[in-house]
Amino acid sequence: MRFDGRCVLVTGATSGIGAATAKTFAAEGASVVITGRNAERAATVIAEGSGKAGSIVFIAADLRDENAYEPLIAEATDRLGRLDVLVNNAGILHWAGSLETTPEQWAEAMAVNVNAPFFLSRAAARLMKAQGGGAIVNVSSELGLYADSGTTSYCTTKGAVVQLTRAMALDFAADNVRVNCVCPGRTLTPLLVGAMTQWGVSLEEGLARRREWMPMKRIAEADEIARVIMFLASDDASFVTGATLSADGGTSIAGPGGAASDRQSGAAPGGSGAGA
Amino acid sequence: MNFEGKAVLVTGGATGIGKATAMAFSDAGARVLTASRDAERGAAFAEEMRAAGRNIEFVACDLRDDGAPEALIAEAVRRLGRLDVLFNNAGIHHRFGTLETTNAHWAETMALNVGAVFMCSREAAAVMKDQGGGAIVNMASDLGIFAEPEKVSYCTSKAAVVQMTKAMALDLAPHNIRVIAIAPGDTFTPMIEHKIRTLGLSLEDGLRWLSAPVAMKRLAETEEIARAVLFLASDDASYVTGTTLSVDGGTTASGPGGQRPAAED
Repeated sequence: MRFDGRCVLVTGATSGIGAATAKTFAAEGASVVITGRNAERAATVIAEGSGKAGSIVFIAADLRDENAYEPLIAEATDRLGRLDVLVNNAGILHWAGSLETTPEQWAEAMAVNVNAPFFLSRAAARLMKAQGGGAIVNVSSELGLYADSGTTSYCTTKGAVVQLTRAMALDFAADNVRVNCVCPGRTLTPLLVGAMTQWGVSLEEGLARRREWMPMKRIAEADEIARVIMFLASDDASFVTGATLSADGGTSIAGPGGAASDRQSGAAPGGSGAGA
Repeated sequence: MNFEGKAVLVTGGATGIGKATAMAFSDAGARVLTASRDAERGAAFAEEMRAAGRNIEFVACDLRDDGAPEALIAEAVRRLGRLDVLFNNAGIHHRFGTLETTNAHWAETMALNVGAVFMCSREAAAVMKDQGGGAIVNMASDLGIFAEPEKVSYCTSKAAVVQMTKAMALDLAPHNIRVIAIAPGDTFTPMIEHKIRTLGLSLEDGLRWLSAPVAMKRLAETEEIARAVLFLASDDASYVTGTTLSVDGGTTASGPGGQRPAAED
């Protein structure tokens, strides 16, 4: 299997994309450490993901705390014996526009979404360099490529992750440590379901609304993002570094009108005219 | 990645990246048809593949000819019975600056690197739509993202491929057809070897010179590009469409100074 004998750390892996990623790594033979803040949810991921080819263990970590970063890498490496792959998946999303974003929200978003990937990656890359190589995958977002109103801190931090990925890729390219980033689109996770609940929208309504403008007419399953992360972490991507890979069903390539064509909106039939 | 039962067409498939990709698809269980305008090399390639027990067929085809894309897709369906993956790999690279590029250079580059990619994709998409889905992978280049001097037609055509990929992805998403581009950096192919010889360099010196600005300090092997193409064409990439994947050892991530630390400037 692709990850036989490989040691993998996935942050924020007690639910959603992180949990799917940890389980897929384990199914392909890896020894996996997951982190998060909820031991109960971690136990579920371990129960669902273990008993396959690899293994999963949990280390509780709160990535809002800057003192957590170095000890986490040290403890994970201690548990695993080495570190081949780091997936910086933990993230926080505040639904607050520029005027509503509090200093606390801003600081928290910066800490979890930007500082944690930087300090964890730096500590991991030091080890990987000494080991002869490794792979780091950062989870950014389609909102790292284009912006949405009402979530300023999230868009800003996810844009930062794209550029952090490039800068770190260059710093470690000569050491055979690859650094890449995936930009998922809307994915069926507790984060999305929670947001809809908060807005008083049923899951069905929320998904139907999104289907109107999504090119693929559906949101992603967490597994679909996990498989992209696996590719970037695998030897199949041996010449891929500093790259940003969108896994968004085409949302980031469409303009603000999304998948709707002029024809659908009734503005114009197919035809020709002078170009703008 | 498993392509058992899948039918794959690779253009420009008798050498370099195309050849490596055809072999990788075949190793993953696919039935593969490759096309190339060089009938002699193609025949030798087909014989080599047959001898190795690989399920790879060859058809001679010059995609610059009127009607060739349409005929090629029809031939692929005739031979393979269906079409699940199209890899638009064929391309031409004229190394001339703006003042030296002739109308013929320009027309040929646009015809092969842009026109034929569109026409092959359109014809393939019609087949894939009826089948219920498929994947089209377009060969872009790091020179479709940033530019280099004295390659104006190539840079322009590859940027067109990046944008065409987005536009086609939106048109074809409702039909469960994904369209993705790959943007390799310099890859160790016969084309690169030829370039090094043309410059009067030894292979070793030439590779060192070409690797200098690459963050990973080496060129890609054709197999590394092939594995990225397989991923993009596979069900592992089921939510990936319209985007361009750089497989360039960090070249696009760096500025014009390449991997030189700023402190050395």
